[in-house]
Amino acid sequence: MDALALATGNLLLGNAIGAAAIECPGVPMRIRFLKDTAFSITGADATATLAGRPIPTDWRDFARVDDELCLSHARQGVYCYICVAGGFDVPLVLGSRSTHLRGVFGGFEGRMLQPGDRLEAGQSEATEAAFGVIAPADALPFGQGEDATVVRVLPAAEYDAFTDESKEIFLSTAWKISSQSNRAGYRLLGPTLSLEHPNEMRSHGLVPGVIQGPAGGQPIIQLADAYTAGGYPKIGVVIEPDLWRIAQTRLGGALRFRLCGHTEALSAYDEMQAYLNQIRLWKQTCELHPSRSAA
Amino acid sequence: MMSAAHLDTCTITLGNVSALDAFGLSLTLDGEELIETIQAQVPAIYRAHRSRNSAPFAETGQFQEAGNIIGFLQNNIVLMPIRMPCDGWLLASIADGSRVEHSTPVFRILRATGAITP
Repeated sequence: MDALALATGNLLLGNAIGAAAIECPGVPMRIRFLKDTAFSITGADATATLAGRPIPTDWRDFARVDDELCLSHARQGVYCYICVAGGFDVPLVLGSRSTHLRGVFGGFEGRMLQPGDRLEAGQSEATEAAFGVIAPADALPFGQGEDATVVRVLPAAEYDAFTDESKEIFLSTAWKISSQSNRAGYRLLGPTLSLEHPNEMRSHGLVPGVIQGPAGGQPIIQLADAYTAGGYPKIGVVIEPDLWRIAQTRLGGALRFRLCGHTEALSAYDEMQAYLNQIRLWKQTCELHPSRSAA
Repeated sequence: MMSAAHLDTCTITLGNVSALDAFGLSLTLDGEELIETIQAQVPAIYRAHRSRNSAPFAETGQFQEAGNIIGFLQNNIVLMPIRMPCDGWLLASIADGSRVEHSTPVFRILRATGAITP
């Protein structure tokens, strides 16, 4: 769900950005390391301890044999990511190591992890360096001080098919995330959006971030497990660099949309890439000069 | 003999010394200096929090075990850990956001010994 947190966690360890990790939608959870392992925790601001010692999130550290990593409540955010150096060694299925729960394939036996599961890590030469990065919310601030998570949207193909009033409502409402939401999409609760004229459309391709306006008038945002096709008119598309902000907003929380143009969207993307590039560079520095990670 | 799990953030029982003065404080017991200074090893910004919205990772007055992370030095977007060098209490720290150079004092700590334990 939070691709930025997954990329951050992997880059802190020198992994490919899409290496398999554990996604924890809410905590608590406990992991025991069966061999010395460099690992990272990113995403939600969870209370974490390694062998009983508090450690921060957005952080990489080194666990010894039999050390336990414990995550308790998340002070902020929803999804936590645990990466290990070399990535979790699960099979590549259709070009991905992720789990598709509805399809029961991919990842670890196509299912959620259960107590007692043992996961193997891939090969890695990661050192014992411990360091972290400032939280994405601090490094990539946007819409702070507002009563809701604010994300930027580009107008979608059917934006102008909605009434002017609906377009105004879309951008001025603090939409509540319904409890009937999941990895495929978030249903939003608020005023009804209407089209100028009924619009029967054939199914067409969808991508994560697309905001649909179904017949009931309550928007749906397609997310990580987005349907590949759908026929509802689309009012907007959340820009990719802001999708993590939605992932880390809790069910029942509020979202606001701010219209942006392609230039601003690309600029936000570049800022996100710059953040990730700095992690790449620093990680290389720390591996070459381990003393740089010890303050 | 002093024994406390949590020292007051402003007062040390032995002599009523303000934590604000702790950077100039010296305390010896049986000829052994018990108050130590933790210095920055690199030029950076001192951070008490890992993010703007989170609580300080450690606070003055707390007892900390050797090896615990008690703060961070920020260089660009990277946070490097400041670790407790021994068991003891945090007496004082410089202000969050302070710029530090190599050898700038960042923490003053009271070392736990046989006579002063949590």
